[in-house]
Amino acid sequence: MYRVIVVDDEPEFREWLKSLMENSKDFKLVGEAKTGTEAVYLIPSVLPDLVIADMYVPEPDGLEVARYVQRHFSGMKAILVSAYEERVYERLAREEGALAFIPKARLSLDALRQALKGEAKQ
Amino acid sequence: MAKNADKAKNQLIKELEALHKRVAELEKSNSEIDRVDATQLKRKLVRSAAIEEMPDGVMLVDTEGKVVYVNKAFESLLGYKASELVGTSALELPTYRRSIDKERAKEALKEVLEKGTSEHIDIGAVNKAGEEIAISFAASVIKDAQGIPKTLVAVMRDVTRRRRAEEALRKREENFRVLIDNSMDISLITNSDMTVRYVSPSVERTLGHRPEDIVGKNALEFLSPEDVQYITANFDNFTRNPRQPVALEVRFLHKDGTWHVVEGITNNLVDDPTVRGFVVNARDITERKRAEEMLREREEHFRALIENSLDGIAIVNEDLTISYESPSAERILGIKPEELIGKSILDFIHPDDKERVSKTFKRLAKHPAQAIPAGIRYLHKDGTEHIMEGTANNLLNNPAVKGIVINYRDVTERQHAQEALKQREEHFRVMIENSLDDVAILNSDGDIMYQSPSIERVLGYKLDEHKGKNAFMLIHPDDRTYVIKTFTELVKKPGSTQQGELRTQHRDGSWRTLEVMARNFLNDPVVGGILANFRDITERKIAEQERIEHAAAMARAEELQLSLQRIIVAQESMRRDIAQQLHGSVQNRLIILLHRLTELEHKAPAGELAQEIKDLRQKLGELLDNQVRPISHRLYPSILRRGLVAALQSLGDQFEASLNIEMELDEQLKQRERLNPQLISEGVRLAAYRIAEEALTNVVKHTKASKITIGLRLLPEEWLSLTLRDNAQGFEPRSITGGRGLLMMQDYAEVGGGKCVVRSAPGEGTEVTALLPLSGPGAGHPEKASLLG
Repeated sequence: MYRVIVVDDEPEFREWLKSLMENSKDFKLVGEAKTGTEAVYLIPSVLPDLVIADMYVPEPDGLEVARYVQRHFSGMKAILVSAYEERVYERLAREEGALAFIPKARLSLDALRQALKGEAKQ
Repeated sequence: MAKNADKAKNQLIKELEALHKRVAELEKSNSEIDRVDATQLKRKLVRSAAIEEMPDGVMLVDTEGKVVYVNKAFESLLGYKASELVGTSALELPTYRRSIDKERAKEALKEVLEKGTSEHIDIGAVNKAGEEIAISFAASVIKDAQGIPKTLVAVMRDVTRRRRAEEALRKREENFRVLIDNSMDISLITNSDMTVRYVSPSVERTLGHRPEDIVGKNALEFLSPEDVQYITANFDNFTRNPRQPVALEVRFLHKDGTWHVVEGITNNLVDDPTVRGFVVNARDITERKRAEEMLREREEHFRALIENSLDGIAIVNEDLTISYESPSAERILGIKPEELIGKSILDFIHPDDKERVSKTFKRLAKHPAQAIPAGIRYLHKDGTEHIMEGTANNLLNNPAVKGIVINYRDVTERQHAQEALKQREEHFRVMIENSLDDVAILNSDGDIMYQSPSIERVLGYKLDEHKGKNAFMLIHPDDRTYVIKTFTELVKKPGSTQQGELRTQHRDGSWRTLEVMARNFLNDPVVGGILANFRDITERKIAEQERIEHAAAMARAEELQLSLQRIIVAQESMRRDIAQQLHGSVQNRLIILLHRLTELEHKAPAGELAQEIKDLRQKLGELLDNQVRPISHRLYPSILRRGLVAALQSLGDQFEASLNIEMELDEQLKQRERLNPQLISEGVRLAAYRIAEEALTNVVKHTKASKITIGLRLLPEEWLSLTLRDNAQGFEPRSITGGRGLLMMQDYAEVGGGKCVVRSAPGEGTEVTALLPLSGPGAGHPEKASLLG
């Protein structure tokens, strides 16, 4: 089971993700952060398995949070999400060591599993 | 002298009488013996010192008229020895001057013999040396006891000196008399109390009073109070020395009431029993006094004139030695007149001019007057060289002058002034003739006195067409008041300058603007007016106006540009805000709704409702994908928040489908931006992004390019260059000038504080280059723009 932290300034998104994982057996939302700063404080205390961060949370932004995770927490995963769907985000996310970039419109537990599975495959 | 002579004579007579008596007594007693005794006695007598040594000449003559004795004084008086005269007849003496003297001597002798004595007789005589002498003699007869004349004694002395003195006195008296008669008009005799006893009738002619008006009155009554006071005060002095004449000059009241000046000599004869008063000889000298005064004044005047004259006056002899110098010589030459006298004028002349001066004075001998050659240089005492001018007049034949009179003056300063003037004239002439400006000289009324020939070129008028006319009439009516006011101020202050512009009419009727600089030279002997330099600045004015208008247009353009930039910035800001709203609130919510619908779809039982939910979900998905997201993106590319490199990559991704895009991104910039997405200022990121977006859109829309290279390089000093180069056919640069796309790119570049240029040539594709500072506008201006060529 993946213990998950969500980092997004949109409460509706956080609510939705929470509800999405409520009935899930492999994902559990263990923390929420509205900003990158909150996330940077929350992550060491919660030590989640997965950080789902919006690309554009207030500073530091999602990419930086991903970089932070990648640099400081071995085994912890970061997946970046955004309402935007530009391909460049995928590239950016990868550059920062994030597991994946998933446009929010296509975000689902399956998409998360897919990303995690893809990582596991590698 | 005469008295002494008489005394000696009387003494002698007495002695002789005493002797004669003794002789007579002796003769009575003893005739024979006594006769001898008598002769001896006589001999004794004559030998006696008394007679022999007498200072007067003594001659004894016997009854027969023969000289029996002469004493030493007689010998020396006439130069004859006693031996030469004794025994000679008294009337045959060789000393008689002429027969008349002999006659007078004979008569005197007869008289003496008859009367026994004689008065002094003066006769002329000739001594042995032949000199005429005057002799005065007296003679007496010595009688014997019986009363018979025995001897005649003549005592005489030389009165030549007395005679001469008397003659001189007589002559002097004569002169004095003549003087009195001729010059002293008035004779006046007063008593000792000054009461007039007599006045000559001439007083009426000179002083208007009849003698009877004056006689009996006190002389002082007629004198001025000052004179009365003076005479009264000094009366004792006048009267102390009797017979000492006192000269007085008094003012005497004429009958007509005027004061006449009277000069007189007063003789105090108060102690003279015949006069007992003052004798005054006087004359009226009023006229003379007046003439004298006039003369004195004139002399004074001329003296002052000469002494104060700026000119020097010298009188030189024929040999050029100076015999007179006026006092002004000291001022002119620095040498006192007395130092100059006796010296040659050539001593003071400059060596180079000496010959000229000599020649002039030689010519002067033939001509009565001659000008001194101009510009003769002479040496001032202080060593400086001066220039002289003057005239010389030959008055050698004038007995009052007997010389050459030179009037001269120092003209050094004048000469220098003239030279300076000449130089200034030349200066002005050159100035005016070579001036690029036009020149006019106006009098103080503004009338044109002179105009330089260039007037024709400037205003089309023929030279002198306006000469004498008033310049103000040629001036534009709107400018006239100001010009006249300025001109009036200028005229008031000599040497002052006024400057300004005015409009005047060209001969062709057009108005020309002149720039005028006028200077007041009214007091200047060369110009003597207002010197106006002017030039036509109409063209310049027009150019100036154009320049101003251009500058204003530029300023307006700049203002517009700034406004445009502000609009762009505001617009972008608004777009970004809307985009963020769309993204954050709208898009995110729509996505959540979409997810909810998906969940509902899965939960709902298969059937109509499920189908409706599915349709709804699909429509919402389409709305999101096709409307909201693109609109959001178009409004503001959010990726810019991640930096320019990311944004350009994203842009490349967007156009990848239609173009082969090659990215040449500066690695250093890429790294720096990854760590700091705010490295490049937001405006610059946006500008670069919009430029690239526009360029790509243009390439896709308007060209058949298959490939485009996007280059981003970091330049020194934190500038960056963005290049988009396509492989299309290219075009004539002119054809796109002002094209909307290009303008937009340029506007964005400027918003970013940089520049954007498009280079294109047929067959060579198109290259869009933007140069932008990392930190945006205000961070130094785009000198980097020069890199764009």
